[in-house]
Amino acid sequence: MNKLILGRYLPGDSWLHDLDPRAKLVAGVYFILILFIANNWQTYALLWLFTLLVMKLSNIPYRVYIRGVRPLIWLILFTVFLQILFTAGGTIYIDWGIITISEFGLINGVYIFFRFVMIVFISTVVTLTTKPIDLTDGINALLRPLKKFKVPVDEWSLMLSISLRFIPNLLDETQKVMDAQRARGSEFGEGSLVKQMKTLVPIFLPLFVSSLNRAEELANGMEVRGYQASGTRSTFRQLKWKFQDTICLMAMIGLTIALVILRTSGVAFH
Amino acid sequence: MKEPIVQMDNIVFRYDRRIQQETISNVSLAVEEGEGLAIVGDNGSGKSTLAQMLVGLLTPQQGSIRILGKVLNDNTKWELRRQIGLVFQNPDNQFVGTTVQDDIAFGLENLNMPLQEMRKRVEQALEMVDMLEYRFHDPSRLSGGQKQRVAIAGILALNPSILVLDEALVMLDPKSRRLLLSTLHDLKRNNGLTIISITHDMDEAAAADRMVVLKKGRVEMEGYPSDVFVKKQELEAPFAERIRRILAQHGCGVPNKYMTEQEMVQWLWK
Repeated sequence: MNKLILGRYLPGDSWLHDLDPRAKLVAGVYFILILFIANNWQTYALLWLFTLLVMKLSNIPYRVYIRGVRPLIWLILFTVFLQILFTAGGTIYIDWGIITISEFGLINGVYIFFRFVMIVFISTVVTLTTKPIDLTDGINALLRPLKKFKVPVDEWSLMLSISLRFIPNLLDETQKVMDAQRARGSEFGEGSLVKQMKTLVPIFLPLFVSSLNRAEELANGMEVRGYQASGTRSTFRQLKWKFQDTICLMAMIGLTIALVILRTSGVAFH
Repeated sequence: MKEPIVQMDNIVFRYDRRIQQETISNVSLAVEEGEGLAIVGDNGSGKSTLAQMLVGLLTPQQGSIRILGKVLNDNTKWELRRQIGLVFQNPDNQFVGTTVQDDIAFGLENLNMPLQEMRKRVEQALEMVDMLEYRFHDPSRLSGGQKQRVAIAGILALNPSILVLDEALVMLDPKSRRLLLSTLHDLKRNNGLTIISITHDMDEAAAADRMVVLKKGRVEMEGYPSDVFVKKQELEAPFAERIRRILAQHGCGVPNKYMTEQEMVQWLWK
């Protein structure tokens, strides 16, 4: 569990930690979109520079981000591999029937690799520097317009924040159940795959039951405190848009303009 | 004479209609405004069931409950819940917020209260339970006693006329329990708060204005605490307490205070 970086929050007081979650979410999604403007080495170099700068701004060491990519590396390499094998054009280095390794294929593969890694880095920056509850508030604020179309945005975000709030409890409980099973001689992570799966059943069953009980108690507690799904609620946590948030969005616009200028017009790779 | 603030008439309740055994059979109780009533009884005597009926989480099969002169039913329960608050025994599953102050604010948000007013109430409520310095902490990482204080503050912030405590003080250490009891006593005297306290703590029961002993869903005895204790010399200790005494006899080093079943399990796990 400790290895998973993606989706984790690391407390800190960097410039990025201080940004409004709405600004970070918008900038993050926007960055992923403008990645597709890049089509030559200049634009990719610029994006890399930007990504590294943002990572630096978070005051979190680079190795943490690299650890974040690690669980996805096989997926990324597989995609890159397919690109290399099935893209044609330019000088052909190897030719085995339908499988060819060409100049364009290699270049494309490298670009795709960069694109993937940058997407992971930037989304990791967003989650590492934003408290889950702030992310929820940010999503809620950004989806607010959907309320006009009767989308239950507030209910969704409450559900999300409650699930986040109960993760530590569930982890504690998992540990407890596993200890209980160990005390009775059960061994985890040993034997064949089927055997390992079987030892998981007596962990998940009690967890499942206790989660249901927990949910019922929580529902009662919420009801007693006057929660009604359809009711109008005020919000205690307030998001505050600051000057630095505007700067953040301006930077994104600046980046877009630079990308458009540096981009090769017409077909790629020329 | 003024009408009692809570009036229960011939309440009958069964969890399962197919079972003859009644959890609550023919209970009638009246609580005066500003009174402190203690309800004691063995596990399974129906104390918690009674508490849940008072806030409309459970509906009696027969009989009626009147709160502040209004009959409690599905139409009036939301309105009446603004006047009557219930604090459950297990604080862990009552927290909605990821920080202490967010959690206190949950009930206020449900009332659609303006932000300024919410801030004031949250502060006041935390002050009352002496937890103001913990306002930014994660409630699930607090000690048992602190959690219970936060849970009580969450209800006190709603400014109820009637406070129902379902073994809500058991995890407190003796000092903070005394402190909290005196705070509640002040609220009772100055604001006319009515307190219905379900408890195993005989000291707490002895401090109440009136005491009710439940047994198998019936009122076995009712009167001034001093009279009840004289008439009923041996109020049987609850299950966890009996285990605790036996363990103490064998010199197992159990804490020398009353523990709930939950706490006992927690303690055994250490």
